[in-house]
Order: sequence, then C-alpha cells, then structure tokens
Amino acid sequence: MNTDKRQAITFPAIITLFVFAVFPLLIMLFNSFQNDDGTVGFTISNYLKFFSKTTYLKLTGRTIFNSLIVTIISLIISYPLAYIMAKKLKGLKNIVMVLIIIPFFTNQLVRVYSWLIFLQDGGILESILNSTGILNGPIGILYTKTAVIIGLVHAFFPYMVITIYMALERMDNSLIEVSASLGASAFTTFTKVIFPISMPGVISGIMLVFVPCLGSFVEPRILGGVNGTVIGTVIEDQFFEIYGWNFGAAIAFILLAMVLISMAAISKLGKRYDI
Amino acid sequence: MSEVILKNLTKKYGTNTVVDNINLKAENGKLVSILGPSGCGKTTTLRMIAGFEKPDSGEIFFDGRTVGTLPINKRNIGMVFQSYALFPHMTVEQNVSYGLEQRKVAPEQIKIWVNEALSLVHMEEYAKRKPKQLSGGQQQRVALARALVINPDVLLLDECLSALDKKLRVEMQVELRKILENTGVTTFFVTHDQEEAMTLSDIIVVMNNGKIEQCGTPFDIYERPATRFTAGFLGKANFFEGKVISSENNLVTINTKTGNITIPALNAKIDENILYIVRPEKIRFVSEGGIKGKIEHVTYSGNISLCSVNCGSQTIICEIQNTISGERAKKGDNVFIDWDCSESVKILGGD
Repeated sequence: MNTDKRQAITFPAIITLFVFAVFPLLIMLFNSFQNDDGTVGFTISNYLKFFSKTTYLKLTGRTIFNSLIVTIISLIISYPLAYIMAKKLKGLKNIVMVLIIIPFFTNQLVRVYSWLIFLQDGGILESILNSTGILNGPIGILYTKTAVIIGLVHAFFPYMVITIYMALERMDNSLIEVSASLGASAFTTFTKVIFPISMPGVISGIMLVFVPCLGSFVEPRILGGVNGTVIGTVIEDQFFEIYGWNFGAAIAFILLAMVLISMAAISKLGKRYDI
Repeated sequence: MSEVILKNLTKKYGTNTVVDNINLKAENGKLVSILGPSGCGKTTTLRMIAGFEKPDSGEIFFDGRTVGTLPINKRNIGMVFQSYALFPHMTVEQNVSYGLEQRKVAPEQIKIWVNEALSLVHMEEYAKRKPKQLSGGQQQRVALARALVINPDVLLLDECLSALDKKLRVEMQVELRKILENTGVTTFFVTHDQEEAMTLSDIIVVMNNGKIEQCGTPFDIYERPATRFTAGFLGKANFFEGKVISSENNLVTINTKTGNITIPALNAKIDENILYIVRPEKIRFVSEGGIKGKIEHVTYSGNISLCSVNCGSQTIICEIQNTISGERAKKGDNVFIDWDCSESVKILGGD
C-alpha cells in the first residue's frame, strides 16, 4: 500500500474529529470573544472579567490545589497497591485488577450518588462510626472539600494504579536482586532503583489524574455543594443556569490553557526520567 | 575471595525437592561450574549461595563463617545475571559505582576503582553511556565490572553468557577466564552448556534432579564419568550394559538387553552387572580383528565424521578424523572397529 492510500484510511477519523471536536471548539473560541449584548464583534472583555475578579482567581487557585491534593492522595494509595500487584501477588493479581477497574465501568452519577448516600448525615459511614464509638453525633462530612476529594480520588486513582503497575510489571526483578547483592538495603533499593525506574508510570499517572481533576464538576457539585465550587462548576453554571455562554466559553478556554500548560510541565518532568 | 563450602544443602518447593542434600567445596580462587539440564537445581543452588533463597536445611560457609543468617546485602557477593540486570536509568559509570557507594567508599576512591574495573573489562570509553546504548557483549562486561569492583568474597554467574551469540560467547569465555584469573576470586558459574563449562572451569559439578552426579576437573568428568547421566550429558558416549559372561585377554563379553557383545575392556568379573562407557572418538577402524559391523549412517561435519556402526546386538557411534590420507567412511561399508581396552570406563551395577 502506498502512502496516499494509507493516509486515506485516516480520513474518516480526521473528519469525525473535526466535526465533533475541532469545529465545536472553534465555535466556543468564537463565542468567548463575543459580547453578551448580541452584537457581533471582537472583544476580550470576557477574559478580562475573569482575571479582574479575585473570586475567579481564588477559584482557580482552589481548583489547582484540590487537583494537587487528589493527585498526591492517589499516588500514596496507588503506588503500594501497584507494587504489591506487580511484584507480590501471583494469581490474585487479576482479581484485584478487576476490583480496581470497576469504578471505570460504573456510571459517574451512580458512583457519585453512592458516595452521597454513604457520606451523608445519618448515612452508612455515620452509623458505622457511631456504632463503633469512634464518633458520637452527626458526621458532617458531606458538602465539604473532603467529600469532593474522596469522590475525585475514587474516580481517578485507578488510572494511576494501572500506569504504575505497568511500569513495575515491566521492570526486571533481577534489578532488585542485583541491588541487594551489591549491598543496598531495601530502602536504598527502592529510592535508587525501583522508584526511578517506575517514574515514567508515575508521571503518566500524575497526568491522567491531575488533568481531568482540573476540569471535573460532577463530584464537586454533588458532593461539595456550596463548598465544592471550582472552575468546572462555574463553567457549568454559566452554560446551564446563567446562560452566559460567552463568559462560560472564555473560562473553558482558560481551563484548557491550564490543562495544556500542566501537561507540558508534567511531560517535561518526565523527560528527565526517560530511560 | 574465599573458600566456599556447602553442607547438606536442601531446598524444597512444597513437596518438590529442588536441591537434595548437596555437599560441595570450592577452594579459594577456583572457578566452579554447576552444570546440568534445566530444572536440575543449579540455579536454586546459586541463589541460595547469593541469599535470594533460604535453604530448608544445611549450611553455607564463606571461609569458615556461616552465612546462612546473613541478609543478601551483607554477604559481599558479586552477581551477574543472565539478563545482566544493568540499572537502565544509570550510566555505565553509575552502575559500576553503585556497590561502592553502598559501602560508603570515598568518592575519589570510587572513581579510581571504577576506572580500574572498567579497564579490566575494556569498557573505559563507554563510562558515560546508558546500558541501552551498549551491545549484549558490552552490557555483559559492565555487569561483570559491577560485580567485581566491590571485591566480592564470591562471584556468582548465572548463565551469563547464554544470551550472547555463539561467536561472541566463545570470545567472552576466553576473556572471562582471563579476567577471573587476574582477580583470583572464587567463582560459581551456572550453565547448561557443557562446552562452556569445559572451557571455563577448574571444577565442574554435574547436577541432576537436585543431586550432584559428579564433581571433578573437566578432564575427570569427561574421561572418567562416574554415572551414565554424566557421560550422556557431557559429550557423546556409547553404553554397554548388562551381565558379564566372560572376561579374558582384555576382551569382555556382556549379555546386554539386545544380545551379547564382546568389547575391549578391563577388570570385569564374571556375573557382575556392569556398564561400560566408551567415547566415540576413542574408537578407530581397523583392517581386521575387533568388532565387525556395517556402517548405517555417516554424518560429515568437516574435521570429523560421525559413523553409526551396526554391530549386530548394538549400534556403536564412532567419531573418525577426516585426515588427508584417511579413507572416507561410506554408508554400507563393512568395517572392523576397535579401541584401547583402557578407554572403556567401567561403572558397577549400571546406573
């Protein structure tokens, strides 16, 4: 097959991508530079509005901070889990993998509402804690940042587990043995050999958790209530509550810029650990 | 470097005994090959010496001290794996200095020793490269340098040449031998390649089913195999097994399963159950006398030809040198074969 024919096969994909992704994005981009009064023209007032109000800037900061916390917690949960799966479990590995992947296949709303029922006052968690005597009285965890973070970690940590697992699985076990034979303690072997070699997996994991967290709005809205306001929920409000599409579009592009910048930064970090 | 003794070493996986009560002594500075088919327990033995596996019973001594309770990182061993196991994220130099850093050697000293080790294996120019930029043979050398630089009590090599192609492997064998002679470190070398074991070792330990079949110099193992297994595993061999019917004038008649055969051999007693082993290259064609037979098959391989000679009750394999004047053996030729009676290696009671 010559190159032209080979390229021809990609046309359906390119067309689909253009119609359903690029074209809507262009409309959004166009909208974000429009005035709300309906006159056609070019204005950057939507962007100026965002950057001139401290509320929005604070919100941006909070979104980034939340995403960082979710990423860090995911990493702390995922690394040991991935390590045990890759290096310690044998037959059980697949079962554990399925258990971890299940959140993927669960409808997002079902998953989030399950957390709502679990965390709410008078809910399952509260009655467990009360009956064991750890807590006395209402739990008051729903509609806080903690609830949002719990929801987001649950939604995204499987990505992290899988990328780290794959990096560790690929790693030759004799590297660990050789390190020990050369006199390294288990701790040194981890910090000098295992962790650096698994770094590409960690980096992709960070990317796959941090980036979608920036734009999340379902978990913050449902589990966070008024305390869950982040950029994602503001955009949603602009589109569905306030009908400020132009301003909403502008915020969406600011979010997109944040996503691109953080992806570039993370992958630059990854280059350093290129093996 | 030190003397290594394995005493009654046993390792079981569940009900499966992988290493069965083996005893072995490696003198200071000797290269000991552990040779055997896959699954014979040779790698497990090596891994027990290294400390990666815990023996179920028995002890390991380095220079008289037992190391059974020492964790791997306190044993002072150098190990080279089949996959080389170079740290992919470190340069050659960093790989080699890793063991010295763990020993808290001063950085200036590390530099000197690393350079020495790299020049020992002729890899000085590659110090700044990453492992993936090296060929298999080069990675092998770096792995060796990394194991040697820490001045280990014992060097353990796990099938470390088998990933190389044949030509490179033969070169590395010679080179490895030279390097190890220079360093004088006691070395255990696990392999399933008998030729490699022959070329490299001072002592060969032949293992089968978790037991040591025979332990000796390459010469002993080849010329005086102690068991059928050893004879069959190292090189080719003819086996004559059965009850002795008569023994006179250095000719022994044996009643084998397939019939009687009279072969040149020594020291047989009537009615003894016996196994004689004869190497094919000890056998020659003679114009008369000896054993009469017909050539059934000839495999020509340049310097030698391998002939299967049907001698009635048994087919005997002979290796014939293809010298200038030597007449070429042909299929269907009627021949007489003979060998020196002292070349028949006697094993009592068969296996």
